[in-house]
Amino acid sequence: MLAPKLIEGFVFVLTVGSGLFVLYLLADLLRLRKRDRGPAYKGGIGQWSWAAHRITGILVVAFLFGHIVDTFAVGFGPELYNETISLYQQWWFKPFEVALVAATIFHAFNGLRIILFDFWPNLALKQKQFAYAELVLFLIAFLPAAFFMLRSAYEHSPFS
Amino acid sequence: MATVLDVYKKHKPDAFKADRRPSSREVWWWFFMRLSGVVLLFLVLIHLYIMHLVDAGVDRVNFAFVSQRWSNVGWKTFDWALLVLALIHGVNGLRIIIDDYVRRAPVRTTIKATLYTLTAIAMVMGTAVIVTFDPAGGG
Repeated sequence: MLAPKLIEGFVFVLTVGSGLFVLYLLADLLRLRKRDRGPAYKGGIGQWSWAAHRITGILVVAFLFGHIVDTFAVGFGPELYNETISLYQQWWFKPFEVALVAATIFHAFNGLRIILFDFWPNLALKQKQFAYAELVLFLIAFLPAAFFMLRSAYEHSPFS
Repeated sequence: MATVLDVYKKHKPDAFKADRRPSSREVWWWFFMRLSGVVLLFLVLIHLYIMHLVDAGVDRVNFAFVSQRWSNVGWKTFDWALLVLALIHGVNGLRIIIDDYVRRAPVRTTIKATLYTLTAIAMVMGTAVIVTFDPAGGG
């Protein structure tokens, strides 16, 4: 059938497009660091958190558009939907799924850190400690999730 | 020829006064991002947990699974709230990023207009599929 391939193509275009934009964003960040011009925010974990928040946000919203389109297929019956969704069930898709989960968890935790500083500005004096604490929390939440997701993918892959 | 700046100066003179009041609309967007962010923290993490970790994760998702989930109006509401909040939160984030990186006004307007059109289409598609879902299938 053509429709599932079109939907999968749409998801692919969104992934590549957002990926290219992320590369541009990183290049822009490195250019600012190199030339050190203007009142640019200069380095440190705070700037990397800011960049990572944008990057993960772009990736998640790009996938969201694809995900709305693939879910739309459920309105056209089991045959179309099951074929569309089979893209996500390939063993080689699992790393992308893990990346999506990582991006979402990071964006969620980092967003919470930003909200804390917005409403309780005194906490921002300890922004570095908060950033490191957030990374620890991120790893505690993400590593077990990644382990279970990749284990099931490994069992279905040709390598096991 | 009148430039965009001239038109703005004529029709929005207050925007060029030194002591203009800052846009309260942006403050409301700022507040919305925080509010929806906190709500999405729960909605998204529950969604990820159910869809990617429990049982066989994404491997078990198919038409029958969605059918069973959406036979419950609570999950329909959950998914619709997730759709609306995530889409508006995400697109507003993109709007801010576009304002940061696209300097030329005509290009910026074109990109934003396209983005908002796609967002409206996605919102209608997502809402329609949840509201009109028929477990018997076919359409």
